[in-house]
Amino acid sequence: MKAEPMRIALGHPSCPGVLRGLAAQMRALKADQPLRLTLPPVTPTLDKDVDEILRIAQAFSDVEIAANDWGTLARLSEWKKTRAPKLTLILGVLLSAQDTDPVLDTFLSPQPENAVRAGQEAVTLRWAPPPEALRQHWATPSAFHWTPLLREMGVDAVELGLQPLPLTDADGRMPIRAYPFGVLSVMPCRGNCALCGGPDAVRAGRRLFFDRNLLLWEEADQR
Amino acid sequence: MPLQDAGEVAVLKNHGADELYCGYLDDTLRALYGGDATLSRRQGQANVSSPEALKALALEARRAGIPVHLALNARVTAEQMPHLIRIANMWADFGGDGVILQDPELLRRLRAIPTLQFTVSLLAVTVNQSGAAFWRSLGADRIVLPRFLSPGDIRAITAAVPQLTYEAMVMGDQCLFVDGFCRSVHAENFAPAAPGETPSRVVCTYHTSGNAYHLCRDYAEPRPDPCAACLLSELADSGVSIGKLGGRGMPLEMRLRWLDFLREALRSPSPARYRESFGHDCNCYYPGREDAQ
Repeated sequence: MKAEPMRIALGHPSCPGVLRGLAAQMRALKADQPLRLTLPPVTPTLDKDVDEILRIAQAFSDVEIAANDWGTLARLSEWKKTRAPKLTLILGVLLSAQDTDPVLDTFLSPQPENAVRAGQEAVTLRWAPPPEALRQHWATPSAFHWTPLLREMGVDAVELGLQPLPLTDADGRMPIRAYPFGVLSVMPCRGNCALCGGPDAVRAGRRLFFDRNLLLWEEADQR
Repeated sequence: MPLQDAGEVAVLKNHGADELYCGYLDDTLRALYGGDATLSRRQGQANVSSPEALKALALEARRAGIPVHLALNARVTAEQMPHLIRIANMWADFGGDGVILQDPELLRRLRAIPTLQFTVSLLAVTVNQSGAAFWRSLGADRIVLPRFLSPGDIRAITAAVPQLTYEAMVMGDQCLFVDGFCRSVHAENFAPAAPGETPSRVVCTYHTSGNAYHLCRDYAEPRPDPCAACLLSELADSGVSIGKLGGRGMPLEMRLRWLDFLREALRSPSPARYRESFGHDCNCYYPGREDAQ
């Protein structure tokens, strides 16, 4: 039995520099190679790069594309409807709108009382269990209630990263593609890679690190 | 210009504000979701806290002839939709002019309210022409553009979808990160109390925490009084017709100082005037924009 070729993943959720090199990488692949492309938010400056990427992608027989801004998702939706019906379209991890701050699950466990100042006022900070509605909110990506809209757009799956609270089990949610880290924030590109990123850190037991301009976290014992 | 109660309408108008916006967090919502930034991405006193206060604010704004918008621009889940729809309808009944939001499903549900204008928040990170067209197709009237766009990018968007109104941040609330992609908990930033101080009330840890993780400050100290005074005409030439001041929850005195400075900057922006107003060198809202991307 012939093994299916592995899907090659190219691109980055937030770095425009990676996008600029994508077309050249794609040209080096055979058209029967299953491909996964991740596009960052595409500013007008990057439009021509995306035009070229889509032109090349049309030659591939099996392509997934994750978009990380609503405009690119809408553009790919139209492209899929008119020219690329076999495209697998994914709502990217930046758009899925999860609560991923590593501190969130620390609010679920008792903490010592603390005297603090709120502006001019001294207050006692005391642990109480968060209301169930709030806990549910932290556990539920916004993408789960966009299913009707996403289906209209021809989106096939939503990409979700790690989050501190276990993912809620919502009715009618889209298929999920797993992103291997928690996504915490994005630095705007300044056109100079030396200005991106920062030191690693540990917060609430998780290791924070940058991948280009993307601030991510993973469980501290993962490496 | 952000405001927190009806009493601020007249003074903000007198200082030259042309439009206002506010947040809302009443007791029902507070009981369900705590006092954090669940609905308007701002916590505590940054929000109007009762229907009565919201009505008074809307009436006062109407009396003063100044439009006022309600920020419902945090991320949304299905369970919150009934609350948000109720609040938006109440806001329309009170005579509010518009709603600021970032959730496409919320816009699809609210667009049937004929008297409200809909502004797509900075937090939706609209970065291209297709994004503007997408939001327009859902019923948006206006878009707040993200800070990292160059004037050329802004021009491309506004020219492609001229039916929308465009807004850009021009003072206050500068974040090192892209606001709409930042998932950091925005808790109140408590300081340690002095020894022996008598606390006046109890605050739950999940509302706000003195030890809360405040992402931005791990990577850069916040820069005071960020502004785009020198860029106002450039932004206007790019198709931006509304300059937005951040600072919901900031003291009125500070917001007025920003407003006064910007009104003057509209006539003649100058770093010297900035230094005179704020006592330090200017902090550009759009640093490095000329070499961005």
